[in-house]
Amino acid sequence: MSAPIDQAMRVHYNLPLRDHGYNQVLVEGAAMSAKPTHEELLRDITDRAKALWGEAKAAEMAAALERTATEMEEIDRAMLKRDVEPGYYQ
Amino acid sequence: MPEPYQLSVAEAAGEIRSGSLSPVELAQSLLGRIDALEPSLRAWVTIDREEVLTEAKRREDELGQGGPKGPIHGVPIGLKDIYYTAGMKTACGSRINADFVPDYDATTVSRIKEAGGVILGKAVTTEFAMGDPSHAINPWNPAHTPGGSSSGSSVAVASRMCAAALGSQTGGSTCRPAAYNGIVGLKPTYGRISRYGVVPVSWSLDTVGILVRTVADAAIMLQVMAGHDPQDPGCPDQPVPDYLEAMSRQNGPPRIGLIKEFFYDKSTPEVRSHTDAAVEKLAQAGAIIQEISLPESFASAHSCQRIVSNVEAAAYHEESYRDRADEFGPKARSSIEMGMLIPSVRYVQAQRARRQFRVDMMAMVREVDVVLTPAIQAPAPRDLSTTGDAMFQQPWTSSGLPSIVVPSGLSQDGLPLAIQLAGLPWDEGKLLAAAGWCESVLGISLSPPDFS
Repeated sequence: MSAPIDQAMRVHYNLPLRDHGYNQVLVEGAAMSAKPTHEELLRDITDRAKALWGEAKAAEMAAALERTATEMEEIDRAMLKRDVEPGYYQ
Repeated sequence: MPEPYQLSVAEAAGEIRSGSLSPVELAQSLLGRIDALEPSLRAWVTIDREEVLTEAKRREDELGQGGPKGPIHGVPIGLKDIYYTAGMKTACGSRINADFVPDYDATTVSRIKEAGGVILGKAVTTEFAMGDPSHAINPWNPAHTPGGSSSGSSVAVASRMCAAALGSQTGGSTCRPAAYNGIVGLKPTYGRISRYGVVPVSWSLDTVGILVRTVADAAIMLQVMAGHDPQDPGCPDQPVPDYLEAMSRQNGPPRIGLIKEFFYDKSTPEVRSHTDAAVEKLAQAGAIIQEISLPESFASAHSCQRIVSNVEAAAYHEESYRDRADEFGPKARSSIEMGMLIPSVRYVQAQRARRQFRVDMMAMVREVDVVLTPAIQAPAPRDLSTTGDAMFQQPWTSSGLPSIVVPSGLSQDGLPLAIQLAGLPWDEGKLLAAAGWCESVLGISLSPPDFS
């Protein structure tokens, strides 16, 4: 539940407003860009590759990691309407 | 009189029904053909000669007892070695599955048998139908890839070792090798044919593929296998029309949407001018040609296909990978590893983008009867370390729309070229009708010269 909706519900039901730490969440959220950047996507999967298989293997995989980051970025760039559901079985 | 091995599915089944050819005679002819060509072409993994001849004899006996069981009675069919066959190895071109013998038939295999077909054998596949090339040889030129992953099935059909074989398509694995080998390849709508008992690459992309030499044969094979299967969650209860009847209902030339955007940009000048010449011939025969534009969501279609394919392949192979990673080929291993790294949110976003892409592609195709593109960017590459590029097939696989490849001629190097048509989901009847019309106008039937 988002903070404004929560607040509106509390006003509607005449409930006391309490600090749920939303401010904290918002501050943390502010560190995220609206869409992940290519660098963020690449860093994410590279870190995971290093954790799973070590630095040397991650370095060997550099070209494939770069390609996958680009693919993920391309998908994120697609202008999706919010109500589009996944198409697992079409 | 042509040799029996040269007959199409429709011709062979017709001759068997009329009594002018016996199933045993046909099976012997194909087995003889395989004996002669297999050392050069390496298209097969398993051929059980005794079983083939026993089944052919049984089909012959059935003819005398109650007539043909179905439209392919007595016709031997090849299977890509990822289809479960009870009691027969399904090795998937892999060391991991080298000794795997399923205890049941894939639904497709059962339906082929119910229609009177004879299982001829298992054809070579790339490892787990992924990117590492197989050892099958392109009958048009051994220095060029036969494509993949349905490489053995395509080579076998092209070189007349069988009239029909099953492939599969997750990216471009049916239509691309069909084009490289000069035959017809049909990728039906996602879910049109059951995947139950087919070793998966990616559950939400995999589609059973049909490799044949004529569009009519594609219609016959689709008729035999199409339809709901409760064992496959992706195979819904959609009505199955009479496809041959749908083909015969084609009233005049079709309205064809030509997509030059992307497909021409990525093609060689030779493929562009060849496609233009084919389109001109279709127009002269009366087809209404209308150039149409791709939807905006096309921009991420290839990425969606690869992200989904890698993640689902990683999920399927996770256990084997943990125990036996070194036994996977480098490309299969790379796909699995990449799939293990992709965050869950990115996978779901890819599936959401696919849904939007499918809706947009359907809107585009609705403007016409079928859309047309070149089938391949260039003839089969002279590079045996690759199976070629699936970029012209991936959009149809990702959107689940049916597509078909029809041979359209030869390149200057003597390698096959083809056109690709696509239609609306569940409307393979209209797609086959248009493809049959194009096939008859183009009048191209290819046969590799060294194996004719």
